[in-house]
Amino acid sequence: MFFLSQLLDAPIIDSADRVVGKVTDLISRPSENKFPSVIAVAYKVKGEKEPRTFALNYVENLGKNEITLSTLASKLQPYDSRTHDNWLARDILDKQIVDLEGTRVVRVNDLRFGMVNGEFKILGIDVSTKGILRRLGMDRWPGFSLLQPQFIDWEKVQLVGKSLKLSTVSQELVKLHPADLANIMEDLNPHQSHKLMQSLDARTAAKVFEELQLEAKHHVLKNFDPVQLTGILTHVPIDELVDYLKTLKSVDRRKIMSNLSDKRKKTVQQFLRYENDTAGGLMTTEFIRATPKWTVAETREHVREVSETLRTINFVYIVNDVNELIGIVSMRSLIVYPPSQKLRQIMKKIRVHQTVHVDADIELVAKIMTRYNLHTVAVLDDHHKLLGLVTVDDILRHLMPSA
Amino acid sequence: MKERAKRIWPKILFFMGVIGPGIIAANADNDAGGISTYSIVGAHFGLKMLWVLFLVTISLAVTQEMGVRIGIVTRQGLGGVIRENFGLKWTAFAMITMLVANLGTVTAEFSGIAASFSIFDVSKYIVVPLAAMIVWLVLYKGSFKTTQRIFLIFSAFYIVYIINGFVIKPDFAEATKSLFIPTLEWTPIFLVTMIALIGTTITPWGQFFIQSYVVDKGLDAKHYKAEKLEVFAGAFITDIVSFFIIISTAATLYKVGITITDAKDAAEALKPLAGNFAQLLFAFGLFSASMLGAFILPTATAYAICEAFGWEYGFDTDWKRGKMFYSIILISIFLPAMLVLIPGVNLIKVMLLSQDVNGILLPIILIFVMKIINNKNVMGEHVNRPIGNAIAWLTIIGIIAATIALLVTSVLKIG
Repeated sequence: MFFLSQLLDAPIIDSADRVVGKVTDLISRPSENKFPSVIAVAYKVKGEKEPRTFALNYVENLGKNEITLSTLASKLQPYDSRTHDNWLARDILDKQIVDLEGTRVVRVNDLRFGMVNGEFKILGIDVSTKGILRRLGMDRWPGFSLLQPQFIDWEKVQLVGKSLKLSTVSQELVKLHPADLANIMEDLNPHQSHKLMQSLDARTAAKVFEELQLEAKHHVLKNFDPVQLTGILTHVPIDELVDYLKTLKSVDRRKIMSNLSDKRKKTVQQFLRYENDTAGGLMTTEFIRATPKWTVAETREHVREVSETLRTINFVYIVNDVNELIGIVSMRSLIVYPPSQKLRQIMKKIRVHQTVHVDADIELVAKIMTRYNLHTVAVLDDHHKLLGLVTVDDILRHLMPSA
Repeated sequence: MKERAKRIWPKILFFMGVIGPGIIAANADNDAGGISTYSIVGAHFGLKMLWVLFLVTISLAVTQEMGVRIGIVTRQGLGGVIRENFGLKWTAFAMITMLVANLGTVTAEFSGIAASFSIFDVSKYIVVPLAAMIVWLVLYKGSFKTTQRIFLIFSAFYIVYIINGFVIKPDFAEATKSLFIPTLEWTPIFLVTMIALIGTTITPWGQFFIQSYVVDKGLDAKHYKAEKLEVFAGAFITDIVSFFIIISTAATLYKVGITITDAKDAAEALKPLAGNFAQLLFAFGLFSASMLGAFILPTATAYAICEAFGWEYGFDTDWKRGKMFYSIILISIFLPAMLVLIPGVNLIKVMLLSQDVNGILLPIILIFVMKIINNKNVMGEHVNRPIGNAIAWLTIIGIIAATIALLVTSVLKIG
């Protein structure tokens, strides 16, 4: 087991025991493999400016402090380097990477190598303070061995080049939970996070957007072209979108709104009138509405159709012809009752004191939810018409904005 | 009423938000070390050093602009760029240099806090620990941004120096002449003060700060022109204030031969404008300037070091993830605070000498900046023009020469 830092500057000795030059870099081909192989060595000959290269098969022995060759220096053929090759010292060492397991952005302090099945491979990326101290030459100091090394596997890493190359965004990264992705984006600089956002599909991007902190939201959206922006924003729930728009100057707000569909724009305009910390400002309008005449079977079918676009489907809200809330049906009831039953027969009646008025402040909303043990509470206007609902997440988000 | 206040505040804060990095960095340059150094420059040497201020203004504008450009092109803070281009050993060297300079500056800030309260005979043993606790708690629990803005508004107090400068009716013709005609004295005390004057205006941390700010705001090539203008304006504004502090103290203290040994002396300079309120006004100004610096510097230090070494940073990390970040902040608040508490230290001297530390260490950081900004692989077409290089190198050489001269004169005990 040895480290890139120990190989850099190591002498290269040919088969006639002459020093050919000094190692300046190791080259590996990108791979999703857990342990990618090193395939070539870059070195500098004394007095020359540009480094030369040779493929790894000229190497007889790779030791901690020197590399010995199986041929004469004059027989070395340059390695045919490709544009996507990673020059480990140039492209990886000291650069930022995303640690996918720790969901954080760290710097590469060293690379650890070893022989696996006769191949020279990168075993891990050292991101620990121990790696820093080793490179500072403090590995002989007392206490060094007590420090814990920390290695990350190659496949658990996303390289962050100068501009985070889109083509190389790993699947592992995209599979992370939106909240974790958002955390990573906040650690990256605005340009990098913008690039990362671009590499996501609109639906995931919308979810990540929801999780981002305000400032990061501004950065991420700033450079999107209108088409992509519309794509993302149609997937962001109305209440989140409105919250965001409220933080913008009217010029910027109008710019973003011009990218929305007419129907969505109308809803957004209506929402923008509500104060932030009232039921109206907190509520979502995306939930399942049904009439008392529907049967359980019909309702189930409806739920199946629309569920994908909704964040919460725990309850179906029953309204009469004039959109007044008259009751709710839980998902449990929908499963338990026979398909032919009408909703009217199985719904739980809702009384006005178990709902909130659109202007009610957040404390009152929280109080009612606590008193009646509600996960969601319906929001009504002056005429008891159903406008939307506030979920417990919305309240929590409001209380803990930075979590 | 409450409703109205609610709407006005965001507007003010927003306005302050538009005031960009150039002006914030420049304004924070006029911190405790700044006020006391400029006061001493005027009180002890009259208008003799104004030419240095003139040259330093140009250097400040040029070096800050370079920071902006590196930030826009590399999209990383200076710590990160040094790490990626010079490797770990040089990074450690640069970071230690910056850390020492910054600890010096924070020491000056706490000295400033102690000095401002000493005007009212409040003991530093009460004020400094209290201020250190407040700074830590606000940084850890509160909002850095809001606090920074509040103190930035307070530091508009400098305007009183400008008004004061007109009230005194100084000899502007003489002052203008001194801006362009160099006077040098080969004495340690002159050189110490001169290096402090340079080191308080162009600072290592200012170089890191401006670049991080540009990166954090996500500024692009298209913002470059505006940002350049803003940086130039910032350098100009901050040194206008410095100019008036110097002519104020020159016209009041230097004239009658009072040397500054504590904050009360420095406050005398505001008498022409504020009369009996001079001391109160000066105390308030010194205090808010010091607090602004005490908030910004530990944060800037921790940002740069963590970025360079790849530790997690930012106030949105919790203690466990951001252990290093918070530890650096803690150390850079409490170590300097403790230094100030050593019995018998002369607060004014601490403020001046800490700026010397900054000045003497500045060339090291500037040389890193110069290597980066002239590297085609990093900067592409945005490498420095000859004129920028000439000014920056002259600055570096000038400071090194002054430092050597200081050493030589000190050894020879001239003056």
